[in-house]
Amino acid sequence: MRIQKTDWLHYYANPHRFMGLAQALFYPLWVCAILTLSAGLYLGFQAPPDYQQGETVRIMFVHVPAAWMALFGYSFIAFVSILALIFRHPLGHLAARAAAPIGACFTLIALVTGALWGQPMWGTWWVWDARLTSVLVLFFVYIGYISLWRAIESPEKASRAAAILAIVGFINVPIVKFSVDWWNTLHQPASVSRFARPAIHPDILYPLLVMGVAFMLLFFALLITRMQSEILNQRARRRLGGDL
Amino acid sequence: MSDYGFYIWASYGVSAVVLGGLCFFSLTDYVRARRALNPTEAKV
Repeated sequence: MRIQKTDWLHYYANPHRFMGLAQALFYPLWVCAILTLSAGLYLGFQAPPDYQQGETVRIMFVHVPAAWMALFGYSFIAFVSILALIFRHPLGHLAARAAAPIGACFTLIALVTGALWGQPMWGTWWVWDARLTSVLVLFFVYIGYISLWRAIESPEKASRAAAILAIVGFINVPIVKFSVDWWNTLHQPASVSRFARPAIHPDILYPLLVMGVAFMLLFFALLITRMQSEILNQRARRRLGGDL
Repeated sequence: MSDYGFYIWASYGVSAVVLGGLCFFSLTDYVRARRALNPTEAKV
């Protein structure tokens, strides 16, 4: 059957169709994520030390992609929450709920590895700098979002409240991104996204980008795994309800 | 790397534990959900 361009999103709104797609993507995504992650780790440990940071630049190969995924994860949650709330996409809430722990884990990694880099480079584990503080707020928003899902018993009410929180909380994403431009921060400004003339040497840039791709693949591998688990659990509950 | 070894290995260690734990729990939940739906399925 030919799918019209505008209908592809709702074509996969049917959980049966989504499960077919997810089953087909399950192994390729996991295999690609593991291979890319291995390649990224190998390139990261082969990269020469930075002239300023020395060997601690290797922490950046985890810290920077984790921070990218923290922002991407929350943007994804806000986007699918809009789809669920406004366009009533049936898988929107499911995708948002499945993505939240993944985004929270990447945010936690960005915070911890940032502190572990900050101690030898800045001489402190933590400063109440605009970038660091806004990422900590992002982590708390993730925790609040996950807690809200668990706190409300009715799935309909929980999904609506969580979607509103996700959309309102999205205000923090541009604050995190542009905090280094808007305020005078200890954290350095963006250096990878300047594609016209990146401020990073290719020996450091390529492992960073490979790790970024690996974390993105891992995000989607985890996402479809968690979404499938939730759909299967819902089916099992319905079957159990029918048997009783 | 000797001067900064602790910070580098701690960063990779924490990341491995957090991501490894998330992968482990997500995959075990998935296998459990498949088994709950069909006990003859997913006997890994």
